[in-house]
Amino acid sequence: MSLRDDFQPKWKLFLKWGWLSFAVFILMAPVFYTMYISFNELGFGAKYYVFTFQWYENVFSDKQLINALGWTMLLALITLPIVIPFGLLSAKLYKQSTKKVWIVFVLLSPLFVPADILGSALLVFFKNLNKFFTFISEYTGIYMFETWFDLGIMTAVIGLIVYTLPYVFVVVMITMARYRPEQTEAARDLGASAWRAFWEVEFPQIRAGVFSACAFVVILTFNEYTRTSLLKGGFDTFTSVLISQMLNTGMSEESYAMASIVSLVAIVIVSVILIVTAVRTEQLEKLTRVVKEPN
Amino acid sequence: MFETTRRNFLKNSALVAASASLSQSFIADAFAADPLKIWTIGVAKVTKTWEEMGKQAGVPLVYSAKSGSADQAIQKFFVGDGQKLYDAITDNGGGQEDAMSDNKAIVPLDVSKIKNWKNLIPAYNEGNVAANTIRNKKGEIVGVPYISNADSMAYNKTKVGGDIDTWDALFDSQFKGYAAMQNDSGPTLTTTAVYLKESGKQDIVNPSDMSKSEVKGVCEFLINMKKKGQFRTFWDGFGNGVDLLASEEVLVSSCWEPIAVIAAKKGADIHYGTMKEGHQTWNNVWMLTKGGKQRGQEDNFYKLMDLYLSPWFGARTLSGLGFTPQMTGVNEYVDANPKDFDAKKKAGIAKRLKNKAARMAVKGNSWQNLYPKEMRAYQDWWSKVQAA
Amino acid sequence: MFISKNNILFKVPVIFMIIFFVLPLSLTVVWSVFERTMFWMEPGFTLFSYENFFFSARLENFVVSMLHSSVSVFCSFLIGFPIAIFIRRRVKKIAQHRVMLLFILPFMVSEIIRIFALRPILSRNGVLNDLLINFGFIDSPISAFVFTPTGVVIGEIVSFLPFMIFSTFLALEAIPNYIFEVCSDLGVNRRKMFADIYLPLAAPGLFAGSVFIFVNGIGIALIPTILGGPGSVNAGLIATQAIIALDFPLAMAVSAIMMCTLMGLLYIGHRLFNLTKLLEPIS
Repeated sequence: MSLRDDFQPKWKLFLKWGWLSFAVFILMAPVFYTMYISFNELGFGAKYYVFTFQWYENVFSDKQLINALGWTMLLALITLPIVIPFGLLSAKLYKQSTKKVWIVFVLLSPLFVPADILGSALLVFFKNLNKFFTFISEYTGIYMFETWFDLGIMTAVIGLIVYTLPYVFVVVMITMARYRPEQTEAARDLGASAWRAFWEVEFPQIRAGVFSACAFVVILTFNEYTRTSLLKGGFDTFTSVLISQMLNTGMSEESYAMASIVSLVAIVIVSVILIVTAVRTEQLEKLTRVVKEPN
Repeated sequence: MFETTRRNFLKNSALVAASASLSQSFIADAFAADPLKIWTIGVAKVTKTWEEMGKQAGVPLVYSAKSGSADQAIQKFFVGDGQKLYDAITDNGGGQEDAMSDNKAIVPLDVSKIKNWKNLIPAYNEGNVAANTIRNKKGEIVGVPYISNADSMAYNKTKVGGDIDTWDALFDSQFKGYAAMQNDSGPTLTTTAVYLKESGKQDIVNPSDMSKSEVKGVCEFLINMKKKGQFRTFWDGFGNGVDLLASEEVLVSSCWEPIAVIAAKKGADIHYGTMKEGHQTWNNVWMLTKGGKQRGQEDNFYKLMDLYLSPWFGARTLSGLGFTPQMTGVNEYVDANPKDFDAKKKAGIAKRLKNKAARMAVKGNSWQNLYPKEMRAYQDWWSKVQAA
Repeated sequence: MFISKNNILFKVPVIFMIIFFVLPLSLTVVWSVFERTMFWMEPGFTLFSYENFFFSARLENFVVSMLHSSVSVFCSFLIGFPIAIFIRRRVKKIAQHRVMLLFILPFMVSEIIRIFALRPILSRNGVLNDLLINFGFIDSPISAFVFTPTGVVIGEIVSFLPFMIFSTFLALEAIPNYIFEVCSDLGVNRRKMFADIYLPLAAPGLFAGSVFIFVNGIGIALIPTILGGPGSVNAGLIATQAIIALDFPLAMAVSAIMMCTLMGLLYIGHRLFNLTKLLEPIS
């Protein structure tokens, strides 16, 4: 990456970049350490280090884990098609709205609520909702809602939507900021329907942002533990298996291997986004240069 | 316009609900020919994987990890999703099975269907010391015991410079900042009460069923110790207990025997002593959940219990982890299978049995009781200890 | 028809959040005064849970955890704010968001994994102590890194630092470049630049980041559980312990107290700094 400041001595800049990389490294150090331990046959706390792939083999032959992976994927797949349109809709609403404070409050404050607090409040909420619906069905004979809020996929997905929507909202807002609304106006003037104007003019330009938002939702779903473990029904997710192994069982260095795998997936996805956006902006830059200075 | 969008909205939400319930039933169907879903502690396994355990029993198993804390089971079954998740669970005997049975979380067992029931040690016969721990209040058998022990203290012999035979060490300023206890009210309060009673520091009638003022005394002692910085931490779960000892983060720790065994395997000089004041004795039992019975898992459960009451299991849990087997015929089994149990292992078993006998013989021992009469006082004071 | 201002479709997400976020959290206040039963709770009115909270060691824990949280906020500010300034000022405009992505990376790895792995790193015979001893900085291992308040603060910084960087960066992004240029043309010195330009202009972001770290510091149970050792309890842990002991009214009371703290802080912040400014560069 090139730097644009010419007034500062070079070594100072290096120092600052060093500080920045050091901060990232420190933040990632626990992850690297987990990866290091995951290859030790004797696991954590042992006096010797014996290299092995054994824990990874165990992980991939563990049926419960593969099952849990399936459930987690399912959660992500149900959450995605709901939360992404939600994010787009709320970004649009935010732009039109005059009462921005309230929208920001409702959409962003989940970021500030600690997982344990939100999880337990939702747990008690669903339990009471359930009792209420059971009561209703007994008195009206309409059994339609009776099991809606039994702990299960539905409740886990609701928890995940509340958790991921703020992230989607912010990412979508950031990408939409580069889009100029005059384009939509132009399309509308030419007789396109609002939907067509959005889908054929605006969406292609914010597509990258939407895809990043999707990636975020998937990663967040895979990493979420507290809320999901409180709200899920009769199934285990990847992290709930991982954490119960980490906290409760001893001879499971598998958990280090599992943690390494999820971390690696996250690292790869973020790196891909980084590289793709880097390449795309390079291309765009070239393009603008060509347009600006034709020969 | 409002109409159309409202319809859209309704349609969408109905779709979501439909897809959710659909996928749920779909996945439930996929597992119709169900394996037995068990929720238990990692140390209930004596082979390398749970798959091998299942093969040995002739029952496919799906395992979920559970902590040793009794509260967790109650929470999971009365508020959480326990009935849906698990067919068979393990927990400590001594009050727990009564509460679970009273609330219809578990069902009575037909022990005539368990072939190896005849192997069970006589301590569980009606009228004997442990009889109550497998029966509910009506006297029906609801639990199958598979391991028991007298819990003691593990210490790092090299670092502390010798053997330890008293709980004094755990509370001695010499090991300030190098001691740990379990983050669970049952074992920690009982162990401390045994120590205070037998060393004459506090008058306690029954360390397993203390009165309000006795609980207060014990907890105030612990709070005082905590404030002085005696404890490095309170360990939570098996792995945490092992890590602390193996990495020499703590040198003395009240813990389960397998924690000491595994920590020693990792290279630290960990020993498991006999405390002259006494120990908390306990057992762990298998229970069949109501959900498990409804899902038709009763026969699978009995098959698995056959394995847990066979000397095959007893010999392995004793040799590999240090738990006390609950069935007769273990020594004969070990003698008959020299391939699995060589001379070194046999010597280890003999030594362990000798230590166990010594621990069990201490007069001050106290059987664990998960539902003492003053339960709320226990809970309230324990939260104060945790918060101190 | 599709993009009409009053189209209810656009409000669906907000309605959803009101039902499943605002409502449950507001109801915690109601549930917190219910009577506790053996395994659940029943409607009633009692302030027992609050008494249980305010007249026990819990209050002290709550206050102490607030203190630790404030230390984490301050440290995150010291480490994170210069990074945000650096990215805003010295990195090419087009690359800025990419550098931000670098800090999102640790955010994307489950914080449970990161916090859990911190324990072996910080323990007496852990990596950090080994390094310090090998480089000759210390002779005997430092015990204070983990199972102490220090451990909790380290855990909080490692978990939440990225958020401080994001929010301050967002705030700095709103400042037009010419302001910096004018300042450097006028030869404004560094300290003045920091005190008169960066600090006030980034205030909304600083505030948002601080509230986030502060509230999560007192609310996330996992950090004191894993890194705190005996006596380290925060509001999240009190709530978790209450749920395990099936004391739901107490758990709800803790949640309600947390919510009031959070809402109070956000309200004050909004009055002082107008937090919507944060979203201006992207709206």
